[in-house]
Amino acid sequence: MEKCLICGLEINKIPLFKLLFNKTMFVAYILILAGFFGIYEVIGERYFSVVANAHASGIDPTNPALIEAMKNAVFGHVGEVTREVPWTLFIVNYMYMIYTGSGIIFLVALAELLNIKVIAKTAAAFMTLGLAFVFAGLFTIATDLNILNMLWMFKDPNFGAGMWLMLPLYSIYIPFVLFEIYLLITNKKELVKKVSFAILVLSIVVDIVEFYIQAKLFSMNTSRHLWTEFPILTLYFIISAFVASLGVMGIFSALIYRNLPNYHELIEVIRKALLFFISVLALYEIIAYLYVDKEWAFLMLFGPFKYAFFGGYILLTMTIPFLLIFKESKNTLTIIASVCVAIGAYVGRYLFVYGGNANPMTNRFGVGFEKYDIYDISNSYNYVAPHMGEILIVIGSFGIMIFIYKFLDEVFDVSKVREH
Amino acid sequence: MKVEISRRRFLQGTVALSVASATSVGVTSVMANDEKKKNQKESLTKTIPTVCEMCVNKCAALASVKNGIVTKLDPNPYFPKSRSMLCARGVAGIHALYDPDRLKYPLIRTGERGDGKYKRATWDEAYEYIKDKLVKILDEEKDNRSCIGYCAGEGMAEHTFQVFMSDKFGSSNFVNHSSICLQTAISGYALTIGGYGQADLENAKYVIMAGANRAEAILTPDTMDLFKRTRGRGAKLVVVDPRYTNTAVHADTYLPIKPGTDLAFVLALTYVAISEKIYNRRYVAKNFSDFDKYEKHILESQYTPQWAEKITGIPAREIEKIARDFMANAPQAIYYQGRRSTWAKNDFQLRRAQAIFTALGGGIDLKGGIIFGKNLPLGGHSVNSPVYANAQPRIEKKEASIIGGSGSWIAWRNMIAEGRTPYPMRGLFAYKQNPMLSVPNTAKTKEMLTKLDLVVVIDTMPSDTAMYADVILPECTYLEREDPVKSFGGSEPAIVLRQKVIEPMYDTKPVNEIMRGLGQKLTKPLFEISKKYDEDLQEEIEDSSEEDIFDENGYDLAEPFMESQEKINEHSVVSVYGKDAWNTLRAKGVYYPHMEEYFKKIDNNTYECYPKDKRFYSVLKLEEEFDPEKFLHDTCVNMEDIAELKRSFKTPNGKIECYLGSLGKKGIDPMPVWRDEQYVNVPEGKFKLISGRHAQFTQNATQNNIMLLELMKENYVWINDKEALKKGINFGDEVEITSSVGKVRIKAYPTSRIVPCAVFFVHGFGAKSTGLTFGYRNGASDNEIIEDTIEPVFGSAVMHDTIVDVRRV
Amino acid sequence: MNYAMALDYQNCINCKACEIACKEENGVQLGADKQRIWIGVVEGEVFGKPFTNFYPSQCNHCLDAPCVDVCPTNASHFSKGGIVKVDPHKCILCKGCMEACPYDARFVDDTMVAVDKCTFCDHRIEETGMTACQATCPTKVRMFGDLDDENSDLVKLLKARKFFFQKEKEKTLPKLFYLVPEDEAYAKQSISHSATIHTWESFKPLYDTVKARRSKQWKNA
Repeated sequence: MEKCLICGLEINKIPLFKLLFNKTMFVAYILILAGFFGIYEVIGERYFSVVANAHASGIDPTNPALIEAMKNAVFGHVGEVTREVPWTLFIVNYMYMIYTGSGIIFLVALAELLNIKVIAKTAAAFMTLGLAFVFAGLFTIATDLNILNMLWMFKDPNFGAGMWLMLPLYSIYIPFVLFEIYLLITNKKELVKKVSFAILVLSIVVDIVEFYIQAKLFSMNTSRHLWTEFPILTLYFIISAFVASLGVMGIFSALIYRNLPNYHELIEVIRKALLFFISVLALYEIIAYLYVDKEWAFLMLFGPFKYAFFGGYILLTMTIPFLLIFKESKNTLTIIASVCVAIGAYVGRYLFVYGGNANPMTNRFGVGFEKYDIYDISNSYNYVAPHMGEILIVIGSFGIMIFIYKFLDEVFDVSKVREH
Repeated sequence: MKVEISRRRFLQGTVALSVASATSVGVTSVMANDEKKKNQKESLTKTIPTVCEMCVNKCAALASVKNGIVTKLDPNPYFPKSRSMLCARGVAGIHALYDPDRLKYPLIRTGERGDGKYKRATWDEAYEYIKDKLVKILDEEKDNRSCIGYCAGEGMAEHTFQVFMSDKFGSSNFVNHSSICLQTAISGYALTIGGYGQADLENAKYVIMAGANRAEAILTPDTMDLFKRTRGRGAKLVVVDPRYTNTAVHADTYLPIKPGTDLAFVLALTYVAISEKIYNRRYVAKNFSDFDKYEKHILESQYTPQWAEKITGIPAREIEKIARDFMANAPQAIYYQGRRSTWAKNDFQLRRAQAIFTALGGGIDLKGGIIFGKNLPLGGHSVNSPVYANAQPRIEKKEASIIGGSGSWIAWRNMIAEGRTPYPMRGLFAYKQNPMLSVPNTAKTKEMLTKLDLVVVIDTMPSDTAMYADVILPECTYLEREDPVKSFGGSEPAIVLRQKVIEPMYDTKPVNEIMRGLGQKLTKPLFEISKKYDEDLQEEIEDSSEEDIFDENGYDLAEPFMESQEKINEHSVVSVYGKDAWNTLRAKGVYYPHMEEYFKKIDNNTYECYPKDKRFYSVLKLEEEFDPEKFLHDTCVNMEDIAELKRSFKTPNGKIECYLGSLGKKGIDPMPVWRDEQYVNVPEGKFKLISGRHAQFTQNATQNNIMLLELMKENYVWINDKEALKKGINFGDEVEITSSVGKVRIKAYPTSRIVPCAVFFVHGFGAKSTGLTFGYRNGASDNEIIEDTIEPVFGSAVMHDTIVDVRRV
Repeated sequence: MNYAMALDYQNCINCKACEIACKEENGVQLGADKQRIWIGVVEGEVFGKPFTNFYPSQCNHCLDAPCVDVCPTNASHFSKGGIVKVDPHKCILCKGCMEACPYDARFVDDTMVAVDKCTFCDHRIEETGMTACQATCPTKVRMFGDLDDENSDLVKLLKARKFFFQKEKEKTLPKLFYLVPEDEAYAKQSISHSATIHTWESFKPLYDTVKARRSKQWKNA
């Protein structure tokens, strides 16, 4: 294919039509379309649904829209989230996407540091994949926030808040990863050799900082003991991210590199790493639940979340993959294990976010859960099912991920195996 | 009357945004957080003292008005009775004013009765319609004015309406809330201890509340006084109720009781007090008449605690303990009078027994007991009412032993519905009352309304009853009108004034003006009818001239309503207390002698209106002559009725009456007797339906108030959890409740907080009026299934004796 | 100035006057979930005898408020007198503060697309000396006031009575002072065994220390 060279970067002169219209892109578009329906739904709910306050009826008592709004408020449902469960599927997907993506980037850096050849050769593709995941995560969270007021992130920053730190973090992190990819795919061999070690170390530091900030975001919520009492949350995030990342890398390898001569070697690396990290994760979970506030632990292990926890998380992320890959065998088994892990890790994120809100804050006086309504039963746990808009946006985020990866791959050939 | 809007989504964006903008106007105009707004605030904000009308208590309120919009209602600390508070309903009064479904202009029916089809009319068209029908009816009935009945709900302007219908129009067929409310309680106390009085819960040491639920059926100042003193804080509280109510929550002792057996409980208490001779013997010797008869009756009838245990389900030792504790704390001990409705057929006797039991401890007319207090008189004005020779006495006179001026709703309605009236009943004027929801057996009320030739409803909301009207006249809400000034007696008497807060919205009017307009329209044509049929009038005209008779005998129906309410009020106050009092009343909303000197703020939560030594606790000793009419006071009491009652039964004043011989002649037990045959047994697997209140709703008057609905969106039926388990009923399941007169569907609330033999749901829901956007078919109406039984003395509705079946649907 | 509130919760009869007064005073969004203040009900039984506790409550305006710390744009802030407020125009709706609050005292106001909460009626306290909820309460549960003013009704009350806090273990230093009921049985049924009972002397030094640290963040607007 015809190429042009900018700053040592080979760029494919691919026709726009071919770039944007191919099988993979169509899959991405369908998913993104679902995402746009979700956004439409969410924006409709957030900015255009009829809502009323206590003063509205003094101004125009007979306004039909107001009457509808009042009726909705009292007899129907109003608002996106309840006070009990403010963080929902958006945060689950955000966590999954960002952690998995940066986990991949982190792992690739580690592999290079450990001089694992087969990863080094495919590093550009994996890093791009990781970045695509990060963008998908940011896309999700962007739909969750009130973008109209985002300017205040710059105008009045609260430097100590985990939430604010996301801004400088990703402002630095994304260009940094792009630079790493640039180094990997560029032809300027000399430069790469000179800076590669420094960049690697720096990249690992950045990755650790990233996970630290993510952990801070959760552990600042002092009353949600599942999050604050999880021992060394940063480490937990890294390990669980590695497990998910390896799952995704396994699936990715099977899709992109199955015809590679040293495909088996690649899969083997992934298998070993996966085996190691799921073992660590299993150990971690066991220890963690000894530490976590028993009220939360009980809800997760024996309460309403037990099926998702054992049947979804433990079984898919640890038990099945472990049985499939604990000794070397066919590549297929590792790929099946990867799929299991990728799904199981999602369930894990879901449990972490929803679990954090599961124990109601309404035991304010320590004598039992309170109810507000005369005709109600007090809740011993909180759960609000994700609504359609959220689910569609999650689906859309996968489309975003595919689109970004495919786009970069078509333009820069990131998936090409490179010898360093 | 329904506006259809599909649920939101993008296309409705424009509509939705207009709400959002309306909303934000609301927010900013009130938040007023910057300088510019502050200046605006000062120039546009007014605070106007007024009086609440969300229930019967009449709490003093301060209305904030900004740009002509009422933004907030706050309590007015000057009024002693309301103790500087405004409850949920009071604060939500704004949404009675701004209710989207309010009646906005006069309406004339175009469809069938009950289907809600009306056309907008001018006031004159509405009056004209009424006039035409009345002329036709009265012509056919030969000027029998009583063929037009009228009913009214309690309210400050109820009297104005009554003056028109009774004194001017001349009908004797009046029914009001008494017979579906506290008629038996008021009369029982009046005939036993001289008056209903007021329980001094600020100072009582021991209170038995049976059936009364002061935490949820808020009554000023009782609720405010009691719950600051419960459980270890001065007042021992015993709650006897089939339900564990919010009042029971605060009780030292809660005793679940089978519905309808309270009389047995009181008689057993009395038995213990008398047999153990622990009552206040000095007080009894001095103030009781016929005590020996009562003592003999109680002892001989063997009303022992063991006997009562079998009937009530309350352990005998508890009864003994309560009787002893009560007498140990006497005279600061009260068996609380209670209000609400008549529960069982023996209700009058129950109230008598309660009153006598309290009196046995001596807790009458003294601090900490039942007090009568003092009343601040207001200047009156006379009404010149014509006498119509052909007007007949009320129809249901013989349906119970004593039918007073406010009638017996059920007996009255049933006679019309069943076609048993002595003369044809042709029409009904209903003011502020909604018998479709408030009178037991809705089907019969509907039948009655359908039979009438003319139904006129004056109300603020399109109630179920309004849907059966031929003409609906829209009254403005209490925040848009000045009402007759009112004086409240008690230990801390005061006069309060409901002032107009904003001008009436839409094409609505206060009752005074409605009566004026109607009077002006009716005077001449109706006088012509009287001239045609009234022989007395014909003779008088022959003797004198027509004009003179017309003027002298008060045939001008509009005459009492020609003055504005403000002028009438000014006269009432100035004539007694002078101009300064009137100015104070207008500025502060409240007036009582020495207010400026007495009123003191103690802290942010406490205001003292009268110094402790200036309050009127023991008035019988203070006053030289005992004039009961001066002391009896209760919002719901028709004093003339009580006075009439007492005159007819010649009860000597100042004594506790154990034996009412004059009643005996009417076939009523002269002393409280438990009669097994009057008690309705609950068959296995069935329940007794009981009704009651929650603190967020006032009967059916607030069912469309969106703020209150937000607190409780519908009513649920309480059913004992074990019974529910047997029937497979879970929380929130829809159940069908069936009685002999109807059935309703409602959601279930299984709870251990109700006795097994009863089910309960709060009154005031389940409207069928399509005019009510929020209240329409929301929950269930108890009166659809309560049977139309009356108790034998006053013909009051027996509310708690209906046997029902509950099944899951 | 350090605004706080004492609650004699034994008086509460669950009439919900405060809830409506709050909505009407502040023009709060309609909806059962949209409450700045609420009455929590805990029902239980001891030996077959039912009991019910009513806990009127609202934002605790914690001295060491975690909801202020987590806010990325300082929308959630300390206002004059230590009142914790939200500036709706700065809120990016990350809902972090809702997660950080141990009391579920915050909710999303859909009319403003921002988080909303109790403001201690700061627009009227200078004028009337009390919040709308206190003013309207039939049984006078609440007493609003200034902890720094030794002569305020609030401090007088706290000196006379013992009190405890909700979830004191979360170390947020809440400023809703729940007065220990005078009746022992009532106190037993409504206060957790793990709650610490304080007196004015025992608690004052702690508050002064933390106030000195945190009040630098207090805005005077």
